[in-house]
Amino acid sequence: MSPVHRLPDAREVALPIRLTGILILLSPISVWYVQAALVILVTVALLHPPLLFSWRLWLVLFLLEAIGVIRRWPIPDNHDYLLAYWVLAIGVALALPDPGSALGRAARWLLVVVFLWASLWKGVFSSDYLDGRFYGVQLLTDTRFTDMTTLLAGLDDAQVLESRAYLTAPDSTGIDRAAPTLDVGPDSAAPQANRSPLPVTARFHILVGVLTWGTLLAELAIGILFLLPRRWIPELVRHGSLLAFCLFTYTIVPIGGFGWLLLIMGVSMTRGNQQVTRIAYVLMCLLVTLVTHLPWSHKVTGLRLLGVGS
Amino acid sequence: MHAPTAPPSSRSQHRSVLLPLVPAALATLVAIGQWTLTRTDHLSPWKGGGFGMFSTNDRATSRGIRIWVVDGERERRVDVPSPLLAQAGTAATLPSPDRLRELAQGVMSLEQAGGDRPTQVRVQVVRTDYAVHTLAPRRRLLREHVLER
Repeated sequence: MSPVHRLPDAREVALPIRLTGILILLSPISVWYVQAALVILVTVALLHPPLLFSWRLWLVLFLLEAIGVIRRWPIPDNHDYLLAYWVLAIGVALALPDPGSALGRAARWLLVVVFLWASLWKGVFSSDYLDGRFYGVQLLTDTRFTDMTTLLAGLDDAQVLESRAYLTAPDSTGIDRAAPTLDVGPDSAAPQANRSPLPVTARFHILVGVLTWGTLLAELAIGILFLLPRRWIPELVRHGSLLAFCLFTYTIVPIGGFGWLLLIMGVSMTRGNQQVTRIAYVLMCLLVTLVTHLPWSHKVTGLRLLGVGS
Repeated sequence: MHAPTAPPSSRSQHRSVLLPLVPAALATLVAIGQWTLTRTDHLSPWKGGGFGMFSTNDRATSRGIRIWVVDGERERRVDVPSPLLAQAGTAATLPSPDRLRELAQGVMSLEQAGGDRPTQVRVQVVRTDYAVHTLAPRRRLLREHVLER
């Protein structure tokens, strides 16, 4: 029986494939004909398993995802690209004699690429990451970090708002939110003497340092853990590091699509006797979904759920 | 005389080993292309599939579009027209010469449709950088295009 018509071992690929189908339905694309085709194909496939495990379906889904990225380029986010690569990986795996092993191998190398490139950007390519400017600015301007800033850095809401007003750049409509005194011409390096200094605290600087180096080292470590041969690294360490990264990252910065993809790749690398690990991945997917999609998630972040600051 | 082909099982084994690497290879190629564009055409590191998100303050919210219209001897600053908002957003993300030229042409056309006769449209993409110790914001010009009628 050819791989095209054989349903794979349910424990090996059914779970990551079904989770990917659900993720596609939860990730709308603004290109209407691509979105319509994706929803129709994935919905029918989830209801009809022989179609769900067809490599031809997943190659068609990859082409649709690729068209969606190309039509919106350069606007799509990184998880749009990663979803397209992952859909291609599923199609390739289903066309091979051992889909479970193939999908696990594809997942491993995608994780290596993602984490090592992210580390390269932070540690080498970026000019404002290692010196703390990235988190120094984002903690004060990105609303997703507001809770962390007020709870851990010792700043109150008024100080955060004042800092955000000071740091905010003009938006893409060309309307300067900042006062005219900031508009001093191109390549301006003039100090803004009439601007109040940022109300930073010692705790703020410590938080910036911890996040800067902690994030870089965590991503570098995960990339290396998955790069090294499996027999060198205990499975608990590899899966545990990925789960921990997703727990701390995606409950604070709710980017559900990216988090789900990392977790699905983790699931695809588990084997038959790793039921507890699979359950952990699925529970983490549900937690990321709750944090990302429910209305209260923007007010009650992971930190508050853990009782920090209460 | 043709060389003997490898046995099917070896070919199958090679496919099983190599084909799963294709998505990661594709991701690497795209990431290299993205890095190149960030250097040549100021593509925002947060975009383009290079996994540069959360590595730099150079993101959409730190970039802006400035447009000046010269009408005879009068120069005036204009907001991005509503019909060109999406185009301006793309130009801010990837301020290539072609995109800025198209945006300037769009502004010129809208001004002419409104009854004005501009002689020049100047489009700038600027980015806000932050000083190392004080985080003082300062605006830096990324690219400019001047369209003459």
